[in-house]
Amino acid sequence: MPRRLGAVNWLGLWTLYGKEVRRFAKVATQTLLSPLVTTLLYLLIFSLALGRSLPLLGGVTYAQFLVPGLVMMSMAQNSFANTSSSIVIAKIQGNIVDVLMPPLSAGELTLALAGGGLTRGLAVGLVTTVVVAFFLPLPVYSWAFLLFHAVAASLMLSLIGILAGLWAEKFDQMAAVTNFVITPLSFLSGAFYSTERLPGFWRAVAHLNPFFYMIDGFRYGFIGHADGSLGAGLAVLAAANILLWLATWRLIHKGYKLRP
Amino acid sequence: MAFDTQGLQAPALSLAVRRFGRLNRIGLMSLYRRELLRLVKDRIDSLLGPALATLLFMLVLKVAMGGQRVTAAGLPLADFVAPGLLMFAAGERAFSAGCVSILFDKMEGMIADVFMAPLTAGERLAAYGSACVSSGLINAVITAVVLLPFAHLGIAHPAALAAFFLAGTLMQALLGLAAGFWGRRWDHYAAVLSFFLIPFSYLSGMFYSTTGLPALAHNLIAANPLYYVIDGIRYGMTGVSETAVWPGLLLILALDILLAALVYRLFQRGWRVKA
Repeated sequence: MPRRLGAVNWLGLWTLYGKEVRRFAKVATQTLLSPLVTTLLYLLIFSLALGRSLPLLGGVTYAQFLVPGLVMMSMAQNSFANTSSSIVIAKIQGNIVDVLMPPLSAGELTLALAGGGLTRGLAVGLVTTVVVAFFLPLPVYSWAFLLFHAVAASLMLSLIGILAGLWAEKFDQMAAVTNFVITPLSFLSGAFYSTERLPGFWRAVAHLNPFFYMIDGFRYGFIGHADGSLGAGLAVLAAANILLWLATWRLIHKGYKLRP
Repeated sequence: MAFDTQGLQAPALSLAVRRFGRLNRIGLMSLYRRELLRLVKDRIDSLLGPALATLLFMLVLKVAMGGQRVTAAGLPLADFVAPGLLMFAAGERAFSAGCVSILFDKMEGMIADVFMAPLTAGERLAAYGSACVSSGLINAVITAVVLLPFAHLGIAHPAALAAFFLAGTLMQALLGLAAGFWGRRWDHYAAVLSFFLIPFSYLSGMFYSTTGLPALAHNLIAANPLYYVIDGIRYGMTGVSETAVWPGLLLILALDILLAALVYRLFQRGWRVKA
């Protein structure tokens, strides 16, 4: 008698999600504390280097302007790191079969893996924001924008992380994607400056970058000021997430670089 | 004979102890070359990665300033920051090179190859130390090329520049080697990077002038040896310094000697390497 799982294998889904969460929670010093230290250092050095000489940006001090961008950068990098490392390590060590053999559909796999990355992104964001709030008064202008952008950005980077993890076959390749794609994109997307400071052409380029909208909208949630169009940001993030989801689902379904 | 026996004939069979002289030059150079080859082998990550990170910092600072003229210690901010970024590139690489090398070989069980070879602790220290410093300096040169379009990189006092660069990079290399002996797992390396090396490097007055800082912050930074290294390099490049330059150099040299003695002892005893 085959076991009946129903339309969704909830037990399997929940188990894989739990494994993904425990994977980072077990080494919380590396996955939560270390991003926190990095963010605090960036905040300190940039506000010391520039905060004393720059005028108010969008009606807040440079440090207050900086915090949402740094928190978002940290969430993005950690969501990406969670899913990508999970898949690459499993592929290299060979224990990816433990994920592929159980009766989980491509959709369930995508959901569980992306859910793990999303959870890490949100955990890092929450911890960092709470700690920073001890040192610096943080206004909250709109909880809805704050939450939407936190979730949309973490999910987006989790999905990109799955794609990168599927593609990469070695740790070097993964390090290259992190160093040459994710870090530059997150650094140059307006975390440290208002894109209004960019010359015309580069401002237009910056406004095509989905990473820009996640930082801009998230910052709007705090300080109530955005550089770009909020509506365009919501549309870009939603569309990016849907497209990435479909791409991820399709590749896992086909077993791209997973099955011979 | 049907096959070539050249390789099979021992040159001159001698059961006497092999003599190396006072210094095992071949061994020392082999170890040095092996260590440097590691850098060349993954050049994309270890050479271009740090250069790109430095470039990002510079770009971000430039854009964040906008048209504004931000100065630190009387210098344009870009020129003030460039010496620190160069030192960061060199120091971070020297530290990681030493730490990863020892840790990786330990975990793979390959470190026996180094400890079994007829090298004294001093020769091992010299080979590893100079390889790490070389890697760091190569990285600094690449970073300097990358930074050229953004900052004025001059040489005001060549002797000070060279002395501080060498002494500072050596300090980081020795710290990295010590951390490599200390670590047992990759987690330890990650922890050393994020909880020691990064705070140590960033809280060094690299990005901002210490004048006008609150007393506590000022004292914290003044307790960081890297502060004197970066200040000395800035003096070498621009002629501007915030501290007394030559006493700073003496301090760094004294630290180098202490650390070298410590790492020598680690090589001699094989701390956490030999059973």
